[in-house]
Amino acid sequence: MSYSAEISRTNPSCFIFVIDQSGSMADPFGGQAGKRKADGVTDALNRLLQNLVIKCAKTEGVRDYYHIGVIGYGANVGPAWLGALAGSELVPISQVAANPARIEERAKKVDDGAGGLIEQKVKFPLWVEPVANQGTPMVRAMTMAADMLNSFVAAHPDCFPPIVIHITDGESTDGDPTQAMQMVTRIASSDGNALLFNVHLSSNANAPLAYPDSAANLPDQYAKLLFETASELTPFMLGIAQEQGYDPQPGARGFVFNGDLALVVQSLDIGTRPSNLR
Amino acid sequence: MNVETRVLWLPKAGNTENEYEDAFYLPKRGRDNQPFVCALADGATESLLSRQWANLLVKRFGRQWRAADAWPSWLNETLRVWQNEKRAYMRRRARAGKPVQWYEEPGLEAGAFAALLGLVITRAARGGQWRAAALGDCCLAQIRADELVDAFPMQDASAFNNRPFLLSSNPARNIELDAHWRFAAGELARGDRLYLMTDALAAWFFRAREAGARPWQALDAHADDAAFAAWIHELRAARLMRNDDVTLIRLMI
Repeated sequence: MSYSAEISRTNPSCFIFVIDQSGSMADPFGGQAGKRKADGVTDALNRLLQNLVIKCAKTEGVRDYYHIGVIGYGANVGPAWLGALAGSELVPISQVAANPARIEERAKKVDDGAGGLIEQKVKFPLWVEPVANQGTPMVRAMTMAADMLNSFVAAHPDCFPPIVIHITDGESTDGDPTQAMQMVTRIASSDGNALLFNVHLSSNANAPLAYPDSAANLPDQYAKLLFETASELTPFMLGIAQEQGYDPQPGARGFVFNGDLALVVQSLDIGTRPSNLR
Repeated sequence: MNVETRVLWLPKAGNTENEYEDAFYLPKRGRDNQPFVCALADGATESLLSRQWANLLVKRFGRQWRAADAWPSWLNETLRVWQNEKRAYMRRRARAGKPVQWYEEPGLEAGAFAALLGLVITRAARGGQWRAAALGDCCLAQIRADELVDAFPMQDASAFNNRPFLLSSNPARNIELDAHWRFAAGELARGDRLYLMTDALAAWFFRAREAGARPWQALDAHADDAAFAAWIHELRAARLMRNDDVTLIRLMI
């Protein structure tokens, strides 16, 4: 049965985040003036990295259940890590834990136990900063992701299939990315093919759409391309999408169109919730 | 009542013995006029300090458990001891130059979690009696004359599908505990065998039983450390058993 391999330190899996850092990411989320897409996506990614590290933390340290890559594409294509990890491709999660670029203190509202809310300071580690600059070289970014996955799967042939989460707001400026995306999803371990999630933060005014099973209601060629290249949700992921209140049909894909930030965060959760962490 | 004991355990494949998060308690010497008390716990993989919490639970069950209806005071005292142990742990970390890291804080705040199964055997007019308390999915099976006569708190393999309610070191996570404790009692005869198992082994036991086998025979056939380890490796490799810490306490009456 596919997508059932145990994730362990001897058989780790892999996540790669591919983040659009083109100039248009400086625009606000639709209907959410004041928050730039680049800020929202970076916050969501930093929080997700934090949660992944916490899930792998034991009292003796952080267990390397995952290797993590973050590719940014805009003015350049390459690893988007800052600080000590700058320039690194796939990083064992214990190294991610040990090397945030910096740790901010942020205020969080928590229940005071008497029906009110109080502000509490929480640590917020940062590995990636918002960038919004120049074009959208998606083909090069996906080719880089495929190269990284090929190396990972060669070293871990029986791993739980790697997951690539791609967040973009625009059209590729270096050609049709279809082939590069297919290169990603053709990469396979003995447990199944790599999974690609496309999160499309379109500037199109259409209503948000999550995990469709057909491209019929998508407004443009570009959304259709990102739908067609996204992987079908695994049964486990379908279950989480249902838990989150969606009604994905069999054949639903890891594709989100025009999501607000909450939907982007939810889709990251669906893509990265550990299913069988040991 | 004379009880012959045997414990077999193995960490999950890929982990070291230091990472084994089950815990067990057996009395050093059985004394004829005293009840025999033993306990088994399974620390949750997802929580921090699980092994320490599981160890404390079995020790405190073994030495301080009084009666089923006195569990609230037993637990309160256990939580008080835990607070001291946790403070001592934090001091040791600080002294060793390894202060708690940002990624440990949420787990330490959330608390440690473990399943617990405790057993008390007393002499009765004819033979003996067992009483057991359980929270979570550690299991007890009683065998007499090559037949399963009782199982507690789970009775079949399907019961292992859900996430069990576990005992937490964080009092805020123990509300509703009242609804989750399970207590049971049964008669014992000379020659009976009792098997206390953590969940991966217990789930295998019930699946094998439901397939028509007598799984206790396999447990008896692999009764030394090396044979037990080799056999568990085989079951895991054949995907007949989930890769998890495994502990078996076998009692011969």
